[in-house]
Amino acid sequence: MTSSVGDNPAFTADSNGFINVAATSEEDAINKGIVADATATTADHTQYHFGNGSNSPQFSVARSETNDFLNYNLFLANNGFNGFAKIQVHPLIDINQPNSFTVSDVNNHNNKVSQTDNTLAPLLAVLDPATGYATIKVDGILSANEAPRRAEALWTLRSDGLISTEIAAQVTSESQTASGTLAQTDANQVIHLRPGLYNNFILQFGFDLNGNGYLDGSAEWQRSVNVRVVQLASLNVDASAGTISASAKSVDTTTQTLEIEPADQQVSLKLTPIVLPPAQPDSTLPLTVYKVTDADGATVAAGNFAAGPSTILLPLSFPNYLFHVLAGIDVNGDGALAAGETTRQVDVKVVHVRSLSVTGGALSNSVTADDAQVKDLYVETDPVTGLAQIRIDGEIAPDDRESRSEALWRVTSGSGSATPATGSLLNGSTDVTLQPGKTNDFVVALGIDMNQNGQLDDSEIRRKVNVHPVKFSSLTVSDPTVVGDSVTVTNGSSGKLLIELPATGPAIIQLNPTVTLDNADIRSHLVWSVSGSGASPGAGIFKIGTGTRVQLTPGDTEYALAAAFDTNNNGIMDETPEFNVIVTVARVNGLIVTA
Amino acid sequence: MFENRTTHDATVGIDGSITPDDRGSRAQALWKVVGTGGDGAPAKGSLLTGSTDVTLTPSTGYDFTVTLGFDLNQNGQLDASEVRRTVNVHLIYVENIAVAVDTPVVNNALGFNFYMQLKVTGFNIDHAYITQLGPVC
Repeated sequence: MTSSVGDNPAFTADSNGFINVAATSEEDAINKGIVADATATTADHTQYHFGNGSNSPQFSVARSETNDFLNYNLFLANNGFNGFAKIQVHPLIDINQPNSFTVSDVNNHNNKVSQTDNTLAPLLAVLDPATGYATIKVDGILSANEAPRRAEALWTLRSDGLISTEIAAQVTSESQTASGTLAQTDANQVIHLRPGLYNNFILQFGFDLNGNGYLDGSAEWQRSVNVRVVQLASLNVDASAGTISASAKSVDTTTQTLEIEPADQQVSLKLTPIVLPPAQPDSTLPLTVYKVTDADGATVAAGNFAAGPSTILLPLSFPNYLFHVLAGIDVNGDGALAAGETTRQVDVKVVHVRSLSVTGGALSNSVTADDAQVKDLYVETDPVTGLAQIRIDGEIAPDDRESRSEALWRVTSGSGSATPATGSLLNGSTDVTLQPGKTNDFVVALGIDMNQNGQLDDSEIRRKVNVHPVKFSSLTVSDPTVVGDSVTVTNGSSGKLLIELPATGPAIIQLNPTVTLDNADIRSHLVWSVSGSGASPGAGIFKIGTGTRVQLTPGDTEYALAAAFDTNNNGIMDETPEFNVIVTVARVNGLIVTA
Repeated sequence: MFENRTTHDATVGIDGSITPDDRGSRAQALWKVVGTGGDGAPAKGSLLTGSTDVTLTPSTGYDFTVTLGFDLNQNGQLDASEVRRTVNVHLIYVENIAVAVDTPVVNNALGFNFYMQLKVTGFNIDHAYITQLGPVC
């Protein structure tokens, strides 16, 4: 008898001629137009009316308070039936229905979903950074929740279309099974989900209606929860100060470090998390929270990424130079980043290049560039080898090994060469040999390898010193009034010169150094002095052009001229002389011829 | 300067006074002797060793010039621009002296006192003559 059930889909006729009431619960039965009559009993053969020719059958069934699994013998009357045919109905009104199916994130008990209908409920389970997997727990409440009945309720885990047996390999060893019943203990209902190829898991819950031992179709999937494992895949930190920028990305539990030399600019940090899976409009994504602390652990800033990337300004007050940017999923849901929730960390080191010191030859010949202004250093080359020696050092903050290792210097030249040409401040000062070329000039630059490419880029240079090798090869002393009355001495040697005291006025000597790439700047680093009474001036630097002239008004008849490279940059000839010339001012008093 | 009667050579000593009078300066104080008919021997030198005897040998001329100065340009010789002192030396060769009675005086018979006033009428010098000398007795 099939036509008697009318159009109500809640009724189906089976092959035995029974009409099955496909209500899954008493509530469901009511919703489907089955009106329970608490007064009815199983003994009653009560007539029920589907209505007066409508599609809304109305009848009441009675249920036993002692036996939930009843077979109701219903005698239904169909208006279209001649007479009241009595049809025996064996209703499968299994009123033991899953009222709710709950899947919770064990690490965050506030993060759970209890599904009460047959739609797919989403849940984001947070990946535990310590274990590498998310842990969920399944539970349910049945309308008949006694232990034997709970054993009849099955749950099955599948992922991305895989059936439960296939997904078993993806869950962890703690839960080899990917299916179970509510009769299992709580411990066994804990499932570890390790995201690998899949991070999308679907939990089905229902009754094995056809008795084949598993949930094998939508008719048996009465509650479904879609669990996605959420994790903070990466944290990107972009530091910028003016036109300077540096970035670091944390993709695992390894702390990343970025360094930035702000050049007295305010440092801005932009924190950008990448959360997987991406937030869906209809999902409640657990907050990704962050915290920025200084070197002492004091919190500088904290917040979450609910509105997207966050930007903060670092309070730069040296030596406040190290900051820790921490981020993670707010596992416990308290809105703040707890200690165990940190999964990504980027350390921001604000490094300041205070100064670059370059010393040439003697330690006293040193210049220090402590601001953006380029300084100049004049270094004398070895008179034999032609090489110049410089020593490079610098001062940075913080002055630790790591920072020093990132503080790189380089020596460049148009045509010369430097050995070594690059280095860091890791081992303190470094001696560098310069081989001058045609251009003869070198540039020593210092900065922080902020992009960590292992070299000092132009944009990273903070301090610079121009080094000018000076080859002071010889000195010529002459009487400018007598052609040929001169002496030329080479570096390290000495000579003598006799000049004649003129009839009137003082004797004059002229000093001319021979230097490579002669110019006034270079000559300003060459000093001389004349000892002896009546020398004027008695000391100075060499002038460009006509040379330096000294008047000798004896006084003495012998003058000691000394010259050298001004190694200590004081403009005074107090160095060990490199050139020595004895100048004799002579005159002929008379010629005596005797017979 | 009178020459050697036999060789006709003359010898002069050359020295100088310079300030400062030290070896370095003396070494650079050069002299040289240049003659119209030949140079001195040695013809040049320095004041390093003090006074130097130089032989003047007249050949075609009797005039010599001794110069002194500093070798300022250090070319090893005394250039004209370097000469500060000069002495001209003239050699004189006296070949004979002619003596004549200028005014014979004859005393009386009581005595034989002869007084003659002799007059040197001239030197026979190779290149110069002294035509008038003072009274000779």
